[in-house]
Amino acid sequence: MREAVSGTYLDSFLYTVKLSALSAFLGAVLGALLTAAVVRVERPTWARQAVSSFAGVAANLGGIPLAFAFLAALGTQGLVTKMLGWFGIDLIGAGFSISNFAGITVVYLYFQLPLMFLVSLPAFEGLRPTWRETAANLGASPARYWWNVGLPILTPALLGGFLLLFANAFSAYATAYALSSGGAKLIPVQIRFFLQGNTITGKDNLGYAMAAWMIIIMVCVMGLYLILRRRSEQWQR
Amino acid sequence: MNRLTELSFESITKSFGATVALSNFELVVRPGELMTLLGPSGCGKTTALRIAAGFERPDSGKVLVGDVDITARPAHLRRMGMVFQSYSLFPHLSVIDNVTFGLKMQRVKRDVSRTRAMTMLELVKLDGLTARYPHQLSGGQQQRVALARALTIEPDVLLLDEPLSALDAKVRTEVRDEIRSLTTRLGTTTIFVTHDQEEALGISDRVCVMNDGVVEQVGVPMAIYDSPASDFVATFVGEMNRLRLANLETLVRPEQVVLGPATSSGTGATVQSATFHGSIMRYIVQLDDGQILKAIAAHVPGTAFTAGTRVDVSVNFESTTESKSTFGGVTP
Amino acid sequence: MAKVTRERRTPLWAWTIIVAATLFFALPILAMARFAFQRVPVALLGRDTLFDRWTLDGLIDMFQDPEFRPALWLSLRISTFTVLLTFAVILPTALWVNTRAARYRSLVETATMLPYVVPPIALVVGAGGAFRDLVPWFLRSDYCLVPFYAVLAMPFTYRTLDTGLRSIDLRTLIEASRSLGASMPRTLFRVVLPNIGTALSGATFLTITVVLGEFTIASLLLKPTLPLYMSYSQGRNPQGALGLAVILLGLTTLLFFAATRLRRRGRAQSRVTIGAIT
Repeated sequence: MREAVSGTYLDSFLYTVKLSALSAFLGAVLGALLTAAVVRVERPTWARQAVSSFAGVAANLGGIPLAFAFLAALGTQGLVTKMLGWFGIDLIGAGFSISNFAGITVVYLYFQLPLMFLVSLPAFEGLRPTWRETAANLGASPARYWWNVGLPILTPALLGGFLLLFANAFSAYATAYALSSGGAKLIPVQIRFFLQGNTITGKDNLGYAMAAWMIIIMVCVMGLYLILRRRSEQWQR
Repeated sequence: MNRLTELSFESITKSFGATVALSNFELVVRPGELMTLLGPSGCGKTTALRIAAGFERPDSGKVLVGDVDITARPAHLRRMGMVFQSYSLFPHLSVIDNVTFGLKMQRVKRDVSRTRAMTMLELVKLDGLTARYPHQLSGGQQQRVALARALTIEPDVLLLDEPLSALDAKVRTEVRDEIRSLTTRLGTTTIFVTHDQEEALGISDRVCVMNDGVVEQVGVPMAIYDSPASDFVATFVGEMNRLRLANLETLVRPEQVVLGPATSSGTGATVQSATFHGSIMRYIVQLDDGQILKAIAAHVPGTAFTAGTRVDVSVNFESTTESKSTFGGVTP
Repeated sequence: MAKVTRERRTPLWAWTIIVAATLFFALPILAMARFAFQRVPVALLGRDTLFDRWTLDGLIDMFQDPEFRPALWLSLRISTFTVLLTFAVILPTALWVNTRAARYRSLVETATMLPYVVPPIALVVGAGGAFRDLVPWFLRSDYCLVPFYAVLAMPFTYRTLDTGLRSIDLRTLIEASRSLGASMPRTLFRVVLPNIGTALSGATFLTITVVLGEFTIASLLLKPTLPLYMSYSQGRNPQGALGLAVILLGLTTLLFFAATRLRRRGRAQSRVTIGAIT
């Protein structure tokens, strides 16, 4: 078990953790902003449903279709890359690549953001407008309202969302695999490599050990998630 | 802060899309008085309150506190306390933190604000529950916390939006009396919104009866009840009988309808139902010509009529309503 | 000057964010669609070539490929059974939590989140290994994917069903129905289910989305589902494969959206947003 987290494999673990954490953090922040924005849309009335519908699809998107969509958009031969070229922005020259760390993070956001949206929508919808009015009545400007009332109430849901996103990114594999053609230093990819069965035998245990470590990390993350859910249930009354 | 403030609405008009909520609404609330806005749903009373609080902007007209025009001032800069129908306590804060919230916004020091909050909580008799959270309190307790929270900031005006509607009947009276005693003691100018006319009569210095965005009558409770200025006020406040005799229609209060034992020369009627309410008896009687009247009589043991009995009906016009002309005759 | 009025119009910042998000989500799909349906390499793309050579040839070739139909058919069959399994297992669980077992709510919710947590590989390796030892015939059948997929879709399906149940006054409905003499099964079928129609269709479409998009488990278990077919035909017919992907995306989104518009019974259903909890 110890071998699984040492040497080059440790790099993989760290890489995976960093990728998951970053995409989770960005996904959580941007997702929360998106949710806040969507909640404020009054007209047209079908807008919220439409966004939820798409979010349900997008959150499940992964693997090859997603990878290819982004390759088609932001890859070296990508449409957006080309369009940015018309504006004078050279994306590739600036060192951006769809298959390096930054690129994969951006792609991950495609399903992290909708997931965050779906998870935090109920919390945002649960923010009663009377609270905003009450706060104003007691002297709070909109900014102070968010700082003293809005955010504290949303925090359990937001943290829960972050944890969920982290877990989601950590166990995702197909997308990164497709983007980097199997080259990314991700734990799930490595596990697959070891357990595919045919090439290297005897390293099976390594694969199982890695999987075990993954599960341990996950259990901790989900444990935290559970505690947070309990807390916010209380306030829902 | 000067708490003897006068609040005035000048020609306030407000529409929501095609619906006109308020039409040239004018009202002056005197310093230190408790004014109730009374009316059915949709009459504009809540809109007027929200305009005073700053949550809605009027299409035209002005709101003045004392001499100052605050119409354009944002809600969080008005010095008003508001109590909502749904209590609206912040769920993530304890009772004491809820009550000190307004002072925290004013950047009052922690120890000072705690003391002030505790004083207020003692006044509403909740000083033992400071560490509790809203979901651990009953409806009545939550409303009292909301009241304490609104008053702790020593507002110029206190606004209450149907604060008792969500409470149980018994708790309702308790909280109502507390509101009354607190505002009197502190001398806060108060506007109370309700659709319950009994509440309005019991708690107010003056009542403003509203209907369809317009003021029907403003006056002390007794004047509203005894001298209604319009048909609407007469029928909305208290119960009213419509009595028709010789092509004239009169409005008669139940307590003005007097029942006596049946005689051969009086106006005959049959008792349809008789219900006992402790200190009073309520009767529904049907006159021989078919009209139905409600009557109230003080309960004197041994004198109650039962359903099916024949009685004589007469109307005591001494204290009659002035709204419609009456007919002569039919006296005891 | 900030106002805390009940704004009827949506503020500017909200629209900005929404537009930015729409761009982010639409562009890759548009790029993918363009690649699928237009036979012009990106390098040559310019204002004059913008409308050249748009064609559905790739898709048509794919539909005519003899391997396409079996794959599609398999995926559809698996979807159907996964949906049925979901309704047989997840729906009762949601009902149970919402009627008798409110204390276990947080626990059940977290449990339904586990599929996010457990990587598909571990799932296949672990569960697959167990199955291989105990019931080897199970893995040989194509339908062995069904339980895996039901579990995979669990986070979404449970959430949707739970939201639906919470948005109606479940306890009162059941008590009213029982007091009028209906047995429990009857109550469920005649009273509860019709009132959560949106949630039911939402869960169905979610499951179908998951099944039609799942690649990892199917590839590890070597089942020729539609996603697998699409990935294999990428080499031979990239445009067709991606065209199909685009169509599937559009179709599923539309289906979802249509599901939310099924308002047969008043306000309760319109409050159900897919995948969210009230």
